[in-house]
Amino acid sequence: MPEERGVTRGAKGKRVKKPIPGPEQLEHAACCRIIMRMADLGPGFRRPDHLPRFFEKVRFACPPADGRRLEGILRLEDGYDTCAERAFVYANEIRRGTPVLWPVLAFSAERSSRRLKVRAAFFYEAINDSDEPDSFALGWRLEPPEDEDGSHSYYHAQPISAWDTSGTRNLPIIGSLNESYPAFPILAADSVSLLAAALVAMYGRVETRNILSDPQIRESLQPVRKKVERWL
Amino acid sequence: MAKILVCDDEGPRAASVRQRLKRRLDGMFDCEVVAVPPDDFIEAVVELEKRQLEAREEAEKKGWPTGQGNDLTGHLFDDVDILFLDYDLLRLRSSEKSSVGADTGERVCYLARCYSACGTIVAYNQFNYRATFDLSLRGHIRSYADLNISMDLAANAGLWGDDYTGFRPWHWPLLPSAHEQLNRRVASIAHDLNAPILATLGLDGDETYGLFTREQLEFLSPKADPRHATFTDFVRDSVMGLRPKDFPLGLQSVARIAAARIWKWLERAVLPDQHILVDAPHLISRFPSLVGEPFTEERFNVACRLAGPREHLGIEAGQIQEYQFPAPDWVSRPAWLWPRLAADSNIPEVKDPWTAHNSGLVFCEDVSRFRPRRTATEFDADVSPEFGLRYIQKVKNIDYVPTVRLLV
Repeated sequence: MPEERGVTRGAKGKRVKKPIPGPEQLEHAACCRIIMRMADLGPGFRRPDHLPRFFEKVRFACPPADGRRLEGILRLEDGYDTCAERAFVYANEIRRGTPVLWPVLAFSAERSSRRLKVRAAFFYEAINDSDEPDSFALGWRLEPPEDEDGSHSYYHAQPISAWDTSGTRNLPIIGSLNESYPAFPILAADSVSLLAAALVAMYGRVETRNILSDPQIRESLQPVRKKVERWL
Repeated sequence: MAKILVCDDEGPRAASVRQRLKRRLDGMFDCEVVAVPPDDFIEAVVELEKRQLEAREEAEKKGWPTGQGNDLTGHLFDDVDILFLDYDLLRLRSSEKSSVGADTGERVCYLARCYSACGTIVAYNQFNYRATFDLSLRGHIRSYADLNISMDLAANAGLWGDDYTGFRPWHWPLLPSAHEQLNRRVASIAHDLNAPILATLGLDGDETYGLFTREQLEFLSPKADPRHATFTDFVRDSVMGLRPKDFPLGLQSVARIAAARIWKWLERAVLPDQHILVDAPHLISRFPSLVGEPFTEERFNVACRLAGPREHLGIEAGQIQEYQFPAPDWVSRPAWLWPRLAADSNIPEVKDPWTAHNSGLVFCEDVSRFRPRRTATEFDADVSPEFGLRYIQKVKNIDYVPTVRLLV
């Protein structure tokens, strides 16, 4: 009987989950802490008068997850998918450049944050065909290698037009999009460095260093510091 | 015939409230309205205090009751369906037997709820003397009254039916049926007070439980895991249940207290957020396709009715029937489970929220009606930020507080 990943067969063929090795647990804790910190810093729970009007629609379509709920999802034993749970992480807005971008993120991973994937929609306000302000988005996904030797066998970032691969949860993208290419290589080698790469892409190196050096997550990052050292 | 009692420390005021109620309800609601003379009111409070003491003495001997206790009959409040109670009872003459004097209606509300079989309790003039709309939408959850209003609103048509104009806060229940709902709730839990509250209400599933805030859950029980807190836990330990040192008269009392106070928790701590349970007007605000075009005030306002079955709300009910809140007697209006509804991609606004048609109408919480958005005023309610942006029509001679919640 082929062995499932993370599972072994005990007495009488009963499925028994393999214990998670210590280093993986530490990486999982670091990933969770970074994600939670992004949610804490972001505008998900700002009051309506502290947000642009177009954000009302975003909040309805992609509801923000509060700390308690997010923590519960990230701790699920068999892995997590915050998009499927309708629990989105609102990262801090990107004010440099025009227009201002409001990142809304979804995270999915296997057990203990293995093979973490990030999906990001950068919402902004623009004028629609009816000459009214409306919400639009740029969508990206950051992923680990799809396989060992194929076309996307490297950590990469690709554009997306929907939260899910079946395309049932569309984003307000302008025009049509090739969702296979380009697939930019990114500077990552594991889940923690993938998250760091996402932060650098959004905020630049200096701000990423500030976030990762924050006392609230420093302790969780210390055991895995080498994975993000290039950004510290 | 329903029995309505008005209790006030000022006889003339009680008589005035009684008169106004009689005028409003004549031909509309089959009931008897009685204004209680102050001396009889004092006596009634003294009797409730006796019951309170009796329960404590019994508990000292035998601990938490295991039997039903004596039937709650014989007290002035026991067969009352709707009790109107003044808050400021300063003029009640002190009795040697009771500390009633400079008492407050809130203490009497507590005694009435926990030591009688009375139906709906409406306290007036506790928080406002003038008609006021609470922009936080939070109300007064710790008050033992089921509803707090100013005296001038006791005879407001909106408390008694769907045929009204003007001011009518959405959170108000319809009083004619409220006591019957309470009795059904009592009957539904009386046989199993050690059942978990959330499981009984169908709210313990992963998709809903995760959405409760800590502030909402802490009311259920400060000691037990909220997910498994039972009706008994709630009555014994919650700040919304019996006060420290107090005990129930018997298990039937526990059922009455739980049925009333958990209803209030749902109505004031959970439903206003509209992110676990959603009621009809807020539902069609998000999903106008459930009403269908044309989007008119008349068609949308059908969904604002509280009397009558949910099939008459003008909503495409068949499509969302499976999401109905499974404990309808525990809220004062039809409601659905929002997390499950919001994931149904058969609903056009869920499948593609970005191109969904805007109805141009908004639900005004102060008049319980839809109005064109351009005529409404926005405010920031003290609820889940996801749905914190709400609207009011703004009615003359009504105070809207706190004003800081009005958005500029």
